[in-house]
Amino acid sequence: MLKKFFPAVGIFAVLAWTALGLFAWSQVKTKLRVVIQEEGAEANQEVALLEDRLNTLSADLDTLVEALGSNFQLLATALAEEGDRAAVDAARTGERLAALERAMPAALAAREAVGALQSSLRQVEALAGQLRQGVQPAETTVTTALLTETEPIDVQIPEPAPEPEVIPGPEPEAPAQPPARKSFLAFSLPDRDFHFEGEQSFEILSDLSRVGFDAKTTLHDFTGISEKVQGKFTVDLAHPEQGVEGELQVRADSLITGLEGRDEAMLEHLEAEQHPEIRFVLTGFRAPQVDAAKKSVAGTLTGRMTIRGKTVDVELPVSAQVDDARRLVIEGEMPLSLPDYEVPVPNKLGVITMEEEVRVWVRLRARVRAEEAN
Amino acid sequence: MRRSATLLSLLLLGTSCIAPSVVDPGDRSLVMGYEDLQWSPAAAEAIPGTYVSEHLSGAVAGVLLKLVYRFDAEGNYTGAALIDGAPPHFEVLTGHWSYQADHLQLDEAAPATVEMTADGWLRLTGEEGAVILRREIEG
Repeated sequence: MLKKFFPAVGIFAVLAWTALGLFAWSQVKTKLRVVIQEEGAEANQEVALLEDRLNTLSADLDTLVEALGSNFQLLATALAEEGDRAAVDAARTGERLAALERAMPAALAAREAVGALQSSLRQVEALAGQLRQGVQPAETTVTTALLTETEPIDVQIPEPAPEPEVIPGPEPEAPAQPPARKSFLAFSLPDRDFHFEGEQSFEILSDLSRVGFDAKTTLHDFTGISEKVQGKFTVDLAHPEQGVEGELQVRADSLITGLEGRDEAMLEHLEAEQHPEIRFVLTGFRAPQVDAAKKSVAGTLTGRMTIRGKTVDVELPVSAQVDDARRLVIEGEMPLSLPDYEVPVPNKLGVITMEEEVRVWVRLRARVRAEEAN
Repeated sequence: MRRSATLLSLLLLGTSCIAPSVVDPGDRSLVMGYEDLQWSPAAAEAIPGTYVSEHLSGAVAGVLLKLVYRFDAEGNYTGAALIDGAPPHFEVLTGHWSYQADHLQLDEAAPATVEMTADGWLRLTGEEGAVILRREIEG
């Protein structure tokens, strides 16, 4: 019995072992790769892989360089075209500026002519009004002269050339500055000079200006002076009648007469502590006499004078001229009644008395303010 | 009555010592001190020194507010210009100066006619104007 059992078990074991082996082989045959190679071949394979990757990268780089070269070429072409357009624009602008400069004298003449025509028109209107009222006009000849003096002026300002296509570019970082050139002083200075024509803002040069008054007494006449003058004003020197705006200020306690006791009395009378400032607000300019060739103007400044807190309308005849230092030198003088400003008139024991009216004068130097000059 | 007369006499005596002090209309403007200077051609050896402008005229007066120069005997100079603007600003430069035939040349700038007074005032005149400079003591 045992002789038959053991061979059967042996055969069954061999068959089972074979079946298990086949099952295991079927499970791992797709996941296992067996390579048989000589020693050192693994390292060579890694080098080969790196070489392969390097070749790929090199090819990519060549493609990139080629693309960049093409793009740089396109950029250079675009920049060159833009430069050409800018040069054309600059040339056109230059031509237009030159044409405008050529037309400027005629335009200025036309402006003066228009001013004269306006003046004539006002006179004609006044005459018409008088005629309507049945009054015989007195200045017909003047009007006729003004009208006949005015000749037609042909002002030809060229039309601007068609604007080229606008190419958006970077905004300028700073406003354009006046051109600078090297002077004999070795500094590069802006090319700028004084212009008589056109509205300009002026600033009083305090260190170079004086105002004062001349007073008369029964014994000794005297002058009071202040060198603490400040102020600004705006005017078109060629056409001051178009308006003057501004203000002058003088510190009341800066007035001196040369006698300490008299100065103290004067400051008491002016109430300098309560009213430290004497002000002159400019409101207009009448009867102008303009000499553009000599850069001078004369006439009457109108304004409001405030002394000791009291404000009075005044008229100050003045003359002004531009000097060699490009400053406006202003001279003027007017009577001023102290009682108008409620300033007590000095009187010592009824014997030494001061006249109620003094002569106020100004000697001012003013300079065009920088923002205007720019 | 006698007392009043005495007071009046004293008052009149006192005030009569005070001279009239009316400024003549011709003297109302400020006088700057350079108007009557006597100018003569400069000598090269007299130029070295430090100078500050007192008066500018011509086109340069329209853009300059102040000018300072220092010339040394070795031919070097430095200068500062206060240029009018909003706001005014200084420009500073250094370089070399030379002098020939009454003309002062600062680097490549156009030559300027140079004149001096006995007490050291300097006047530079060029195409764009003129500047009068006062000699300053250094230190």
